[in-house]
Amino acid sequence: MSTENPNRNFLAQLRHYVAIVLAGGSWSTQLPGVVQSNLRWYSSDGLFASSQDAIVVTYLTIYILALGATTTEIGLMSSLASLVATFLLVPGAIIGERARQRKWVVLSGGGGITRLAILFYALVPFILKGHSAVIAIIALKVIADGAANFSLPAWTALTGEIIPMAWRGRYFGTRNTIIGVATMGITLLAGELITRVGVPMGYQVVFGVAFVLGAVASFSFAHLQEPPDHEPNPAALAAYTPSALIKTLRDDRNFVYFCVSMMLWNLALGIAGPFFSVYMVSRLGATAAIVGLLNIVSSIASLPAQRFFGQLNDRLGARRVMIICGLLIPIMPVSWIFTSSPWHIVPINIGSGILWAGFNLASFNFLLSISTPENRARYSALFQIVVMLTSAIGAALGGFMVTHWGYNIVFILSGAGRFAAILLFWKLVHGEDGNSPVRAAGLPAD
Amino acid sequence: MTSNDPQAQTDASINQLVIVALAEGEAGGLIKTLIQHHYRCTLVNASGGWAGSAEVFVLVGISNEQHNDLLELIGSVCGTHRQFVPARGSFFMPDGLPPLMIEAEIGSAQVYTLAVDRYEAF
Repeated sequence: MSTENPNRNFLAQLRHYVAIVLAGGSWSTQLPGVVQSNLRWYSSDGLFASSQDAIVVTYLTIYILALGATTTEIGLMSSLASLVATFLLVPGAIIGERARQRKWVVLSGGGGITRLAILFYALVPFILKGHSAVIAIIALKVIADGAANFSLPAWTALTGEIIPMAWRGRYFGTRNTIIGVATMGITLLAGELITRVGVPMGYQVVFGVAFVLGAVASFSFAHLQEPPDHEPNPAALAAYTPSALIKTLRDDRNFVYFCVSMMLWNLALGIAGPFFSVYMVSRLGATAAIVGLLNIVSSIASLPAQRFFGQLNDRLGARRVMIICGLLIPIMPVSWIFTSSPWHIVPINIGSGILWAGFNLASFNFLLSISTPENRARYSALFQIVVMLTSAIGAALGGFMVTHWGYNIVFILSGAGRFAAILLFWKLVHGEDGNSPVRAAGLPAD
Repeated sequence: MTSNDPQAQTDASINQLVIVALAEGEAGGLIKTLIQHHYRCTLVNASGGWAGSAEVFVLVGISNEQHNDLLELIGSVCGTHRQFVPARGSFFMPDGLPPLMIEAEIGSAQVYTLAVDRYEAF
């Protein structure tokens, strides 16, 4: 007679299955134990951190709107947060390179200060009332984004060290699927909770939940076993000096044109970006649950699109994919002026989810194709500075324009700016169209 | 027509079996290229469940003379290359800042060549 407990067997199998899934799939069993352990903790960090981000990104704007913020203040929040984050990016890269243990840079910045700020989002209405609460949350958002960006270079470098290059495609494929499902569920539940509990308590509860999710993410990240005593690389440090950054711009005219077109592109995005959810709530009468649901629609659309555009990127080259998606994206903000119900946003967000998945993938891969391994860190830093700085200016301009001219003008200008930027990119920026893997073999690319 | 042209291939000339193991996402491009170059191939899906490795095997029957040409063709389609992949989930915010991306090596393939004693097609 068997004495084995079936429940224990089931739990052991479940634990084994979860361990395999968190490590990225059954292929990971061939890797050393330390690498497998790191992959599991890293997935756990990503799962909880992305769930936290999903709540903050989706609901913070409509939270301060519910507390009485004006559109100018919402634009200002987005603008100041991007501006401070831009200025902290290069110091963060230098500290990340100098630190012997990068994980502590991450845990004190994005894993520490940012998460404490999220807790204070929830507590502010208990301490401050009226306009003071709005100002406090704007200040907290600036601190949170600044700390997150400060630790971003260390996070990226650490990721590169603990996940073998050859396995990253598979690992992130599985990890992103888990995270995608979890963040959609969390967004939906948080929206429903806010709608049922009411304002502002519903928001306070979900930001409290976001803090707990973030704390679990930090706990997971703290378990990563970093390679011992990372030695600072003088060449990497030199890449972030102002003279090196300026020299890069002087030496590569094509990269300068790329940056100029992306400046205009992100300025146009920044004008309208912070106001879509505000428009949904204040003009279309959407509840928090509907705002969450509409964001999920674009996420679902982006999942198959990532795979499709990944293959298209290989066949056509990143530049062409950027142009195809970039010519269609300007239609999206202009479509918003024809909406009169929250459900009219569904087809727009499906289109946005698909096109943005392609554009984001292609823009990063375009950057990869025009840079060399030696100058990639500099190019990436400059690209991020350009994106964030112009987004900051755009958000400030958008706040002013929405207040004085209304939403429709802002949506039209945003669409026109994006169209002009992609035309500029098309005409001025050269790419790697002739060097995609299929073309290199002399095979037809159709 | 040269002897290593796949179109000239007869059942009797097949004396090698080439097995290509590659990630599922890479298979479509390889199959298309093989068909364009008149190779006859069979795809075996070896995916091991949702979290298992999504792996496929492509079986190609060839003659000895075609071996180098086929390897060159496989290498041209499946050679590893670097690509940015999303590193923080796939929660794309329309009109938001770009997601975190990380450089990854994509597109490897393992090729095994086996001798074929006899081949028949019915």
